[in-house]
Amino acid sequence: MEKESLKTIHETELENYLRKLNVLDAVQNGLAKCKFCNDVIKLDNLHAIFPESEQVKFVCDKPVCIKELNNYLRKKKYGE
Amino acid sequence: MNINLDLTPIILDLIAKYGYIVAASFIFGFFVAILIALYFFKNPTKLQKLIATILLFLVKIGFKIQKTYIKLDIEGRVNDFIYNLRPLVYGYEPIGIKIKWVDSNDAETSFFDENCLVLVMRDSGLQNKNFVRAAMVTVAKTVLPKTRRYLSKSQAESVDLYIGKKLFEKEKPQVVDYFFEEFFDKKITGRDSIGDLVEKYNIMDKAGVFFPVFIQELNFLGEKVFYQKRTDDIIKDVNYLIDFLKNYAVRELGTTTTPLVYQGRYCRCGIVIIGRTVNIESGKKKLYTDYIGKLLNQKIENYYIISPDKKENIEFVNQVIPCLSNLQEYRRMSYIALVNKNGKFVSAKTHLVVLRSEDIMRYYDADYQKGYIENSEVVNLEEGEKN
Repeated sequence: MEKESLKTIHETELENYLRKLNVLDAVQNGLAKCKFCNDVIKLDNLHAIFPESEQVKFVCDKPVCIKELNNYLRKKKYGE
Repeated sequence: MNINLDLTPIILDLIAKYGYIVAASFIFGFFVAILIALYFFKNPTKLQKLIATILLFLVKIGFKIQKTYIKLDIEGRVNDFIYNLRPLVYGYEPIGIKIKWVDSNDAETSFFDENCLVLVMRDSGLQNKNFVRAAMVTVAKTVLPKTRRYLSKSQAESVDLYIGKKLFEKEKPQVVDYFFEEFFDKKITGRDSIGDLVEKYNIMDKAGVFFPVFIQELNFLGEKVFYQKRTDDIIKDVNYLIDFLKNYAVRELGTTTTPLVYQGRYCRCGIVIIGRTVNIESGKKKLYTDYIGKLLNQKIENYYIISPDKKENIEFVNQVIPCLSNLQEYRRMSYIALVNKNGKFVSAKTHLVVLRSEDIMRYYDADYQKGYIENSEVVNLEEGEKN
C-alpha cells in the first residue's frame, strides 16, 4: 500500500522545535495566533504548524480549525 | 539425607509412551506459527495493531516508549481501515499513512524547504485525541484524492466526517463520543449542509449503498474528469446523486415509483433490482436484458445489479450478465442491508454486481486538451469525449 508521510512532533520536543524556528517567544508571550480563528496559540492548544510565505503559521486544536486546515490543504493542493 | 534418584529411565519411558504426542504437538505448533507469521506478513497493519496493544501495556507499567506506541497505534489502525475499503470500491487505490517524527534538528533544514505540515502529538494519555486528529487529516489527504478537487466544501467535509465516523466505530469505539461531540456542529442545518449530507450518508449506509455505490460513483467520477476546475455542474450532479441514493435507501420493497436511474451530466448510473420471484422462476432474462439495453442507449454508464443473496437469484443474475453486450463486470459482493418492508426496516442479505459500460464519457479541460492532445482526432472537447 502506498503511504503518505505525516510529520509529527511530540509535545516534549515542541519547545525546542519552536525555538529553532524562532517562534517560541511569540508563542510564550501570547503573540502567536491561529491562522483560522485568530485565537491566541499556546503550547498546550497548538495542533499544527506549517510554513506559508516564509512564515510559520499556527493552527489551534479547536475542531472547527482542524476541519478548516483540511479545507485549506485541499485548496492549496489543487491551486484554488 | 542423600537420595540418588536416576530419572533417565523414567524420562525414556515417558518418551516411549508419549513421545508421539510431543512430536505431534511440536509439528502442530510449528505449522500454527508459520500460519500466524504468514497472516501477519500479509496483514502488516494487524501486526502493528497487536504490537501497539502490547506497547500500551508496557507504557502503562512505566516503559518510556510513548512515541513508538503513538506511531504504531495510529498507523496500524488507520492503515488497516483504509486498506479494508479496497474490496468495497472498485479501482480504489488505498493510500496509507506513515508517521514521521521530527525534532528540533529538522526544524531549520526541512520545515521551510519541504513546505510541510507538522502535527503536534500529545502524551500517550491523550492518545484518543491524537488518534482522532491524525486520522481526520489522513482521511482528508488520502481518501478520494482525484475526486476531492471537484467536490464542494460541504460535500468533501461531510464525506470525511462520515468516513472518519466509520473508522472510529471500527478501530476505536471509545473515541466515537468525543468525535461526535467535537466534530459535528449541530448548529449547521438545512439542505445540503454538512449535517444534512451526513444524515443522508447514514441512511444510504444502512441500505448498504454508501461505499459500494456512492463512494464507487465518486471514485468513477474522479477518473473521468481531468484537470477541470471545480464547477457548479459537478457539485449539483453529486448532490442529486446523493438524493437519488438516499431515496433508493428508504424506498419500500416492491414499489415502482422510486427512480432507479440517475442521469446527470457527469454521473450516470442505474440500480437494477433482480428480486421478483415470478420473473426468476419463469426465467425472464429478456426482461432485464431489454431494460439494461434501453439504459445503455440512454448512455447510462454504471449498473448496480442488486438481488437477494440467495442461490436462485445469484444463478439468475449469472445467466443475465453474459447476455449483456458492451458491459464489463467490475466487482461483486454480498452484504446485509436494511430494507423497508411495509414501513419497517428489516435486515436482508443482499448481493451486488457492479457492471460498467465500455462506452464511458470522459471530460477534459479544453486548455489541457490543446496542450496535450493537439492534432488528435478528438472533437467536442467541452462536452466530453468518448473513451
